[in-house]
Amino acid sequence: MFVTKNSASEKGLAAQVKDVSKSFRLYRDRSRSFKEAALRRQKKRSFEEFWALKNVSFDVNEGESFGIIGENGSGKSTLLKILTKVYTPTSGSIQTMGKISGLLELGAGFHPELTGRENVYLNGSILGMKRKQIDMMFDEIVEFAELEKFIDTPVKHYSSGMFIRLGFAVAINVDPDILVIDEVLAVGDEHFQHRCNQKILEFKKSNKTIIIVSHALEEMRNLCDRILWLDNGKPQELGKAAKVVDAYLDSINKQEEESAEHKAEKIGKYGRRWGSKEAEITGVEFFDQDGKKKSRFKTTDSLRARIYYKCHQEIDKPVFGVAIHRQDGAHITGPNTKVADIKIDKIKGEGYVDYTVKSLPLLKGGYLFSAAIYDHSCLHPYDHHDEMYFFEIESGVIKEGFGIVHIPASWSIK
Amino acid sequence: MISNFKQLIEHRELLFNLISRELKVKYKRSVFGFLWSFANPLVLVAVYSIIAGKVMGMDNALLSYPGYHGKTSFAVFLISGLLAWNYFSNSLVMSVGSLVDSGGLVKKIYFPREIIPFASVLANLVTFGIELSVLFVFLTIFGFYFYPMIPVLILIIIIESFFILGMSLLASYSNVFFRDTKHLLNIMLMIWFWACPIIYPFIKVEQLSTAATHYNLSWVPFVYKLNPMASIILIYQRVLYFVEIPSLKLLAYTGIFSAVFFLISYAFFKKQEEKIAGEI
Repeated sequence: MFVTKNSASEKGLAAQVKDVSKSFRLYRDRSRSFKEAALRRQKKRSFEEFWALKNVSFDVNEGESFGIIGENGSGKSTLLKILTKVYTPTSGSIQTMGKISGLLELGAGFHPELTGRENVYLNGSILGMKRKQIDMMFDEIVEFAELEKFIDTPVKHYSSGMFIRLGFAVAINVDPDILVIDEVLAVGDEHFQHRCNQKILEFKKSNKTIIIVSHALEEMRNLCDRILWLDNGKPQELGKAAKVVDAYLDSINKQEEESAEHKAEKIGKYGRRWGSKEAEITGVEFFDQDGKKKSRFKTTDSLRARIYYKCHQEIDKPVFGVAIHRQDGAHITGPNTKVADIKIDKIKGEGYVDYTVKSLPLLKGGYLFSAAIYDHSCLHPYDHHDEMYFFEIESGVIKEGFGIVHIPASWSIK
Repeated sequence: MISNFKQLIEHRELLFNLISRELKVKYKRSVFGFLWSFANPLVLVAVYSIIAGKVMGMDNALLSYPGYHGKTSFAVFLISGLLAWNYFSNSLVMSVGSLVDSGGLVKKIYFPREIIPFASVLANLVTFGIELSVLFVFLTIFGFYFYPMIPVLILIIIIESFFILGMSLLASYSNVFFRDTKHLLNIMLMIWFWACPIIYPFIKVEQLSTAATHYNLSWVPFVYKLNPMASIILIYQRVLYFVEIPSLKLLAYTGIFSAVFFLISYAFFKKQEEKIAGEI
């Protein structure tokens, strides 16, 4: 063991993961008592083997910030637990150099009846600190958690924010050689989050190794040197942070596009349809500026809704109209060809009408699209498809999160 | 095995902190705090003295079992066995669920898992130590001059502790996989209690085995003493009630039994340790 330790550290490695796999047994009915175990003896124990990790290998260099991304259930947390020795791998080997401490256990081991002070010492020793070390760090910990006033209060009286702050303060002050972080960048209020990030950056600057799991992809892009993308327990891609994040985002977008289409189909069934059917709308399709069929757009994208019609007789002076509703019912817009002063003399046979939005002002969310053909008075519907079509907006370049629409505008300060 | 102990020593800080956590939590928010440690054995001795001593007539049985300088005090006899038993039984009741109760911790951080049941046992050792002061008061009042026996007392406490530590490993580990270990343990302890010479003197067992005429029961006292807790309690009584050096045979038996039992349990526990986090 010592030999490998040395050979690895000579290469400047902080952690070495070789061909690690981890399987769990998923029991259908797990006997949890002697009684059940005895009654069940004859029956074959039924379980499925579930591979949480399959042949994962990577090295983490000393002083590197190494990220792990992937969907929920892709094995990220299992991998961290193997790195911190909570789990042993089913096969493969793992080597870590120096003291490894995790931010996956904020406040783990806090006892509600004990005071903040007592819990700092308890938690510190759980994380492997000696009493003297904690003595030295104590003021810093309390200051970081901003709990000077409450440090001698039992933690059961703490708010959940205070609890997590204290947990984070202890964990970050353990001063390990390798810091393992699991999705904690999203705890506490903005102010505290900022301070956490600050502290992690400080850690990075002091050339310590960080292994981090997070769904905050943009932060990962900035923080990490390299990223491993796990997909269903298998390594999908490993490389420079930006490259892997982009690849991952692409794959997510593709998946969501598929699911948006699926959604559109489902939602279409809830829409209503009425009219005398002398002319019928046979369908509506959405295209982007390149003429590619889509149902998922970004704010400021161009959108073209194509409304296909079919006439069973000649229709004089028809009026085409559309409407866009947000999924919660807010009516965004409802233009028609009559209001727009577009004169259509007559239609017959089959054809289509395009309704084009040059730059979508809509913000992130789901939208319902209606299309209709009316007579010239706009009183008699030939065919009205009410909220039968669906498209989705994802936030693109525009990060606005409040309200319904993005209004192009500019700021100036004097 | 040696590396296990090394690791344990490395984590001694955590062990001490967990022990003090158990004690603090136990006595926090109670007005009398540690005083409760005295109340429990005092009440038990009072109740048993009346019920077992007077009602069931154990007082008389003790006449043929005189202690130090021919004195027969049922209260002293009782407390010298009962406290040792309570240490054993409270430790196990507290440690059996300890691993499962600390699941949140075990699933998130690595440290030697045995620390958790050990902390429960050692917290009880501290309580036992405090309770012993009650015992010392009793002995002094009743004129049992036991002080020269203190080294032997310490030895038997160590022997008993190792036996309990081994038991706590098996019990808490088993409870991870079978949650009704707890209930089973309680029933076992109830029976076990009566299989130890705590509220009746050992001489009763000997008398019964010789009194039997139809069967040969002469083996009963020997088998009875194979029960390590029975032997351990006999040693406590020898030291405190008779104020004599216990038989070396008995000391050797309990000492070797405890040591071997502890080492086997510990080796087993360490071998299975990695399964715990995944099972809780």
